[in-house]
Amino acid sequence: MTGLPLAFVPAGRKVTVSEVRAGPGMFRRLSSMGLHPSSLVEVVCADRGSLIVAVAGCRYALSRGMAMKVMVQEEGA
Amino acid sequence: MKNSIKLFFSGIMGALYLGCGFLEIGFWIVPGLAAMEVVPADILGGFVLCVIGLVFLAGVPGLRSGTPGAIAYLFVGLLLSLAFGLVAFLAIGAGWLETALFGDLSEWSAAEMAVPMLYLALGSMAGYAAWGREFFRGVARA
Amino acid sequence: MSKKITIALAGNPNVGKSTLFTAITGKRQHTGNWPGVTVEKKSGSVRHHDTDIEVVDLPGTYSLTAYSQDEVIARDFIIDGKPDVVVQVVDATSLERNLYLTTQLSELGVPLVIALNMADMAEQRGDVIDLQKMSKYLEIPVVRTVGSKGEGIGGLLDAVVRESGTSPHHEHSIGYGDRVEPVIADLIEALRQDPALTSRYPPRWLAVRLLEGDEDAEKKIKVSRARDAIYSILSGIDAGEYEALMADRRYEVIAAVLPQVCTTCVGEMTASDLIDRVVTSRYLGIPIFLVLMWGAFELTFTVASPFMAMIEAVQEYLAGVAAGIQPGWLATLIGDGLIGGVGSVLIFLPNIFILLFLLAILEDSGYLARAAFVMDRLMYSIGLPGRSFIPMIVGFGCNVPAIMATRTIEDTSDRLITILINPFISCGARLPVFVLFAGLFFPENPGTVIFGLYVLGIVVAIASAKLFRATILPGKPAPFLMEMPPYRLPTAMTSVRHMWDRGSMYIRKAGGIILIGALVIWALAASPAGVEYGSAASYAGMIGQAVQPLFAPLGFNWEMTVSLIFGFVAKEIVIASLGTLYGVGEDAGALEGALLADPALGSITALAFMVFVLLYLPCIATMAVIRKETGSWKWTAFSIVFGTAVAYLAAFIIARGGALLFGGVIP
Repeated sequence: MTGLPLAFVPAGRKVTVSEVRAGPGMFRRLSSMGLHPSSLVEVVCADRGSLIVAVAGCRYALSRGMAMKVMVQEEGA
Repeated sequence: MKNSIKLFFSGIMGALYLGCGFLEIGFWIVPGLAAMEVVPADILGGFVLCVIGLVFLAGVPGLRSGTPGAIAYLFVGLLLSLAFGLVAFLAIGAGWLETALFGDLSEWSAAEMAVPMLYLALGSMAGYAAWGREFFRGVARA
Repeated sequence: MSKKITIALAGNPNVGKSTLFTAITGKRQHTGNWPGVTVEKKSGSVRHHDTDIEVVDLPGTYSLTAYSQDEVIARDFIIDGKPDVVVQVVDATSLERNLYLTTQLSELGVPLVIALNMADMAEQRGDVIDLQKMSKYLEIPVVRTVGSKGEGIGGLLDAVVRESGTSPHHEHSIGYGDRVEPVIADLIEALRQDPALTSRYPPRWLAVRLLEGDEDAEKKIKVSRARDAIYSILSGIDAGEYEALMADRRYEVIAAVLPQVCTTCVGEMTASDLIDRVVTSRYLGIPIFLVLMWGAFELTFTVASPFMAMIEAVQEYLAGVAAGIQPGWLATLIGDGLIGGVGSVLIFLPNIFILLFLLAILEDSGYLARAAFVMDRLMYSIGLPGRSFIPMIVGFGCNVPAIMATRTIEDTSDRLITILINPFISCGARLPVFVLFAGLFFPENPGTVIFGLYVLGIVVAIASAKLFRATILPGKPAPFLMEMPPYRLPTAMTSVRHMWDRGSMYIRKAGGIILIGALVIWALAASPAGVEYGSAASYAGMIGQAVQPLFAPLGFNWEMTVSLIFGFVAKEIVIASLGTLYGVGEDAGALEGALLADPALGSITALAFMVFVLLYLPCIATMAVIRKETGSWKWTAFSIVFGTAVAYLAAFIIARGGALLFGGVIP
């Protein structure tokens, strides 16, 4: 039910965040940037180690390690 | 269709840039090879040309299969090509200015303008005039 | 009946706070298109009708929980600085994320006004935002502004003045639901045991911060007498779960408000995204970056050269005039001291200005953040986060703002390493030394030599970072998380302005510290009375000869030694003092001749000298900023000693190695 890590989503796909498995500090930080459960994420670039995602009209670069902690579900799944 | 023009354009520009880039690097490495009038021996400049050529070429497969977003390679290629055309123009212009102020202008010839970084950018100018606006208005609706 | 109020401009990074600040106060602030341009609070003032308004521009922050130094500055001012009104600058193109901070600010109970900035960009995109509804639902005045064009400033100030009069301020707080609210109520109850604390901070806000596990709030509680009661409440609950519940609730509120006030066209791939795909792609990303850097350096040198020739011609003329001045000592003062010293620095202003202009374009376009992204993996492998790359690029202009820019780096040891390696990045002030020496001693390819020196600086920086990671500052770099601002076409005006803001410093330096340095050196070279100017018997000669044995293994003569000693004030002084000592004022352009004619100087010694200047101790301004940012004399001293040791070693290897290879004569 928790879906797959954001790090595995190919570029151009839209997904919904289902869970953020991060420590309290990182959780709060991601929340304040708009990356929280139920937010809509689009992966813009996933070409290199890190990826660029679009969340709520903003673009963030985040490392693969962090993207592994963000669990997502495919749109409409 | 328009897309096939873009495809054709990307392929030609990519091949020209890459070819000139290789020539410039080759001339630099092997001094025996006499440089052509219109292609100087310049390893770093050659590298720049190669990268621009590769950007153009990287868009070709996507443009052929109609992948949305592939057009971005064409536009980044255009932008880089224009930017470096400007770099070459300013560099040559500065040389001209210095000769005009402190040297003898008769020693300066228009042939110095004949570097690929400059004249290949003319081709991109045409491409930019044709498609630039379209892209920046946000064609990208994939 | 004039009154005085203080307002704070707060908001997420890169939403245009500094641009708005400039529009309100008319005071110019450095702006750029990457998160973390402003790292310090800046204030200015404006008079609106009969109110004097003190405006404070704060660094950007995503929430009131601070992670990095610049965010701490913002949070402390909002919470402890007690501004009369907080103006939250909101990026109209990304309301959802911006409103998260709004929910936190409104809990604080300070009067709040929202400046809906970059509204023109949202409208251009097709968004429709209903200001009145937004203001009604949030219970906060909302004003439409476009900072870059100065629109909406009057309306904003009207709202600010109106809000500053409202008191007491109601706290329009979010209800956190049945599970969280009882705990908040308990916490408030417990907090009331400490009236000193609750009179300073709104109790509900403190309770919420505590539940969210905010370290700063916990620090405040540690010294409070309500401590035990609060600890017993907090220990009874699962903090992580509550935190998640509260963040959810915040977004639920935002999600309930947003659709009613605006219709947006977000969600589609923009041109910006497509460009990102190309410039950050796996194989092309780094080559594109390198090519752009090459272009910047190519322009710096080629375009500057006619302008340098012009300045030189002017100097030649002035030197000719100066030579005719009576009495003779005044002629040498003006000729050798002034024109020879300061003039030899001024020649290089075109280089510095063009380099700064190109760096400004890089910043304003938004590419700088992409460069950090592209270099992330490389940076990670040397033990630094990708974010550290931005200060490295800024360092090409000047190390001082570069070291300030490290404030956005959250992890302290990441930040310390980034600060310590920054002086190795060759700044604009070192450029004159390279241009002069490389042009003289490597006439066939000066460009390659200068480029090589820049690369050497980067290599030494990288090697040092690896060394520090392996020894004194172990650990792993923090994971990369950074906002990518949308690309913007930099306008010539703003880039010229940025160039001027940073470049005018070099002119001021030339008229101030370098002028003084050159005069001091002239005085030392011309005394004691009767001595031949600039000879070994002068004071300058004595100082140089006393220290010279230290530098003898590197092949430096006493003139070079003196210039290095004074060069720590500002690196341009190296050139200024050589110009003074070789007494070339009467005939500008003769410094070149004098240096070439000096038998002690060969191309190997010249190279060793350039490398030494590249790496040796940072200039006074850089030292001061290292001291300020690390807060420790120990690290400052370390930086000085380490830099000089590395410089000596590198120059020694070149001098000795060169002598071995080419059999050069080095005394």
